[in-house]
Amino acid sequence: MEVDKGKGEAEETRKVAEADRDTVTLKSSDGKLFEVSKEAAARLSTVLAGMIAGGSIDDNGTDLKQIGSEALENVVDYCNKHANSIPSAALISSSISFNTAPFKEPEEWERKFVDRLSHDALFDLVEAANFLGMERLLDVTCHKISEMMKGKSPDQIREVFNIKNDYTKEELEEIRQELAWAFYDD
Amino acid sequence: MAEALTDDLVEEILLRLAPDDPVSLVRAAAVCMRWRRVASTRSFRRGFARRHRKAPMLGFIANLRDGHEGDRYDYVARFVRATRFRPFCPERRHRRALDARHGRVLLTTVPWKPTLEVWDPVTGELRELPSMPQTVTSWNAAVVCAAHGACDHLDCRRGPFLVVLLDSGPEMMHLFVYSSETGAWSEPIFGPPSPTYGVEMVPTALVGNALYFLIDATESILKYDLAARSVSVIFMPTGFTSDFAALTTTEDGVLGFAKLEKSTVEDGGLLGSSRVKCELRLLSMHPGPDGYVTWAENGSIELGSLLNVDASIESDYVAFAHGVGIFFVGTEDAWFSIDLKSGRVMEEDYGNGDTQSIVPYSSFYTPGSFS
Repeated sequence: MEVDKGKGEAEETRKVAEADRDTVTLKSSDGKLFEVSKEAAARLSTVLAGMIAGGSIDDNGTDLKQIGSEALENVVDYCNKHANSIPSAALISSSISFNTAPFKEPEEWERKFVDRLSHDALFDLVEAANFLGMERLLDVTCHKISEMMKGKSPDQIREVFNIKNDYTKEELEEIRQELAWAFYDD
Repeated sequence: MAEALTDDLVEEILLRLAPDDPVSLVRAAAVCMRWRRVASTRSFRRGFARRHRKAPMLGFIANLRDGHEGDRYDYVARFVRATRFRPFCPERRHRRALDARHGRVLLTTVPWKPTLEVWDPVTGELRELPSMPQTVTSWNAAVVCAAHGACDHLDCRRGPFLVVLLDSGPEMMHLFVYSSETGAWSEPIFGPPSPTYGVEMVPTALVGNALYFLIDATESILKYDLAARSVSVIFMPTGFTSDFAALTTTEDGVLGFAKLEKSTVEDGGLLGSSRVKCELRLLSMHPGPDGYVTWAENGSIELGSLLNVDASIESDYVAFAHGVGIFFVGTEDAWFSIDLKSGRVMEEDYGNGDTQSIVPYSSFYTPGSFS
């Protein structure tokens, strides 16, 4: 089942949002509107939960100026998919601080959800999840990115992640010498 | 793109690297200075340990007799890898590992007058302890974080530690506690009368605030309460005989032991032939009334078929990695690790020499320890 609203469906989406209080409408930085389950949004995002509770949700589309339409579409897609999946005990039990909670493996559908994203889309989604306080989505996306680093050399990681090397040649050589086990097969 | 990620997000990503793959964290730290800075803070070390909870077994120390042809009498404590991690100095000659806990390995010099050393294979730090407070005879020692009870042991390798020395004599058992904070040994703490068969030099077990030592040819266990500084003795199950036992612990803090038992069984052949069956039997201790304990059988594992070897399994040594639940058993020419949870069995390559015993080493590795 694909919930793929918001691509040129602004008018229709708005009408649905007004008629149906079970959803909220979110507006991306580039002005596109997306509709998302209110229950799922409140459960999955601390920021949206706060806005819903505080009444600062705009029926004409709540402005999320930091999030582009592609990332917001993925956020909404994730929320709606989550609303439709059977929540596992692992996902609903965590009320402890995110940074300290033990890691729970992504579920099969969450894995598929992030696997299909391009690198750019994945990094944008991490930032969106972080901005919206979506612990579980942050967990799943960060886990995916950490998996992308596995087995890669620092050079390959820099290439995939588009990061500039700011070490001097000597500094890098020193690290390689000191921790040779991490760089050379033996 | 990744370059634009904030420090917080870089941290969130690096926190999720697998702890049994220390290569990835080191390589991430070599990507750029910012990533290295993020990965080497104290808060990252704690967050990493807290997130993954269980420290992986980075390797184990094999206590070997090594040397050239006809001269195989050098004692060596050799770090054998279970992950890619390798300490700066993986081989300690004229040393034997006694115990490992909370990131530290306790070594003793052998074969002459024993001097104790505490070694951290991750940071490379080595600290020699002052001379033992008395001339020891049959003895053992354990290393433990000094903040027992108060510490979560997630990142205490740089903190103060204790070494508990147990000597079987004279007349009474003597315990001494070395504190890294005072840099000195305590006055003796007296235990029960010296056991007939002395103290077993095998790794101890820590459950709560109590350290357990195997004594008297594995007929009993000595319990030392670190908080109360009191000593008591626990007897093994009645009628228990074994060449060897290893102390074990479960995740929920139950002390147990494992022993190897050999028996001859008919193998059902037409000629009435028989074979030797070798089992790893597991028992756990449960407190009973009046300070007595009861022992419960928790099953057994037949090693012959599991290891796929003939019945040449040595029955006089078993090792156990606390926390990760991995056993080590040896045959005449190989050592195997057995992960009870996953059922994974691996033949361990420890290099040249004859392994006498094994001390597993579990610890988190984070690049905070770059020089």
